[in-house]
Amino acid sequence: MKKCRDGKSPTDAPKEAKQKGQTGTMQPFPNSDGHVQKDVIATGLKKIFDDVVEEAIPPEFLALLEQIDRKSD
Amino acid sequence: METKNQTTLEESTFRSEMIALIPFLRAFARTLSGHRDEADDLCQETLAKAWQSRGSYQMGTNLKAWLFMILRNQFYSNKRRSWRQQPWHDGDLDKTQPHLDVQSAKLDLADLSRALRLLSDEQREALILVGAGGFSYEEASTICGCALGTIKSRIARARTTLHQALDSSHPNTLSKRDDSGDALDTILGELETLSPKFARQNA
Repeated sequence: MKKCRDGKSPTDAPKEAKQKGQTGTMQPFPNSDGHVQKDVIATGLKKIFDDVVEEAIPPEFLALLEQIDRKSD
Repeated sequence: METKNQTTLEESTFRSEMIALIPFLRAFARTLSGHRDEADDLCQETLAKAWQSRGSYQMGTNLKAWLFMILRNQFYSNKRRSWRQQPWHDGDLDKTQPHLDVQSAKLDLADLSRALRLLSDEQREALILVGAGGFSYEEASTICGCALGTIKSRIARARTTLHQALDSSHPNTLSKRDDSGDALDTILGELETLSPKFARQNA
């Protein structure tokens, strides 16, 4: 197996990532120089999502659940 | 008697776990539909359906993924039902120049929200599930009912589109697409004049 300069094979990185539980999530894009920059789109997307998550649950949602409960009784 | 108590306990657990996930469902619905009220309606429909189908949920499995799957199925079902779709909502139609440099750490969230509407529903849901919802590619592929490779390619294409839309130096940037809404409105207006309802009104 062809080894990189640090003595690791090209397949080591995914294995290591898997051990750290890093698979299955979006990895940042490297730019043309090969440097990985902070992914502002992923950060922004998360912020948009989290802003809604942090909103208080509207009372009609809880009312709906109570209504469902009454129906199921 | 013991079985009945167990069922009640399971229902109670199911209910409390479902309530805890409401904020995430609202966020997913909001980013999918782009309309606050529509998203909340969608979320409530999802909760009602989930409660009706609670018998088919296996306790101990991923409730969040199960609920997200119901929500996205409901979203597409509603969408199929409505013959006329509105790709932008009122707030999205402002014509301001996006002032984003994707290479910088600063991002205008309003621009990103507008840019998200440029994606296909499939691309947007894949991006949100993995990029914000905390799901793995595998979980996202299960939720969307498609192959793992399809999810990966949808996310890659979504990110490319967003980068292009938000990069002011790119020809496909948001500011250069401002007339798309107007063109669509014109087409829809013409379609409306051809509809039977319009014909009856003018008869």
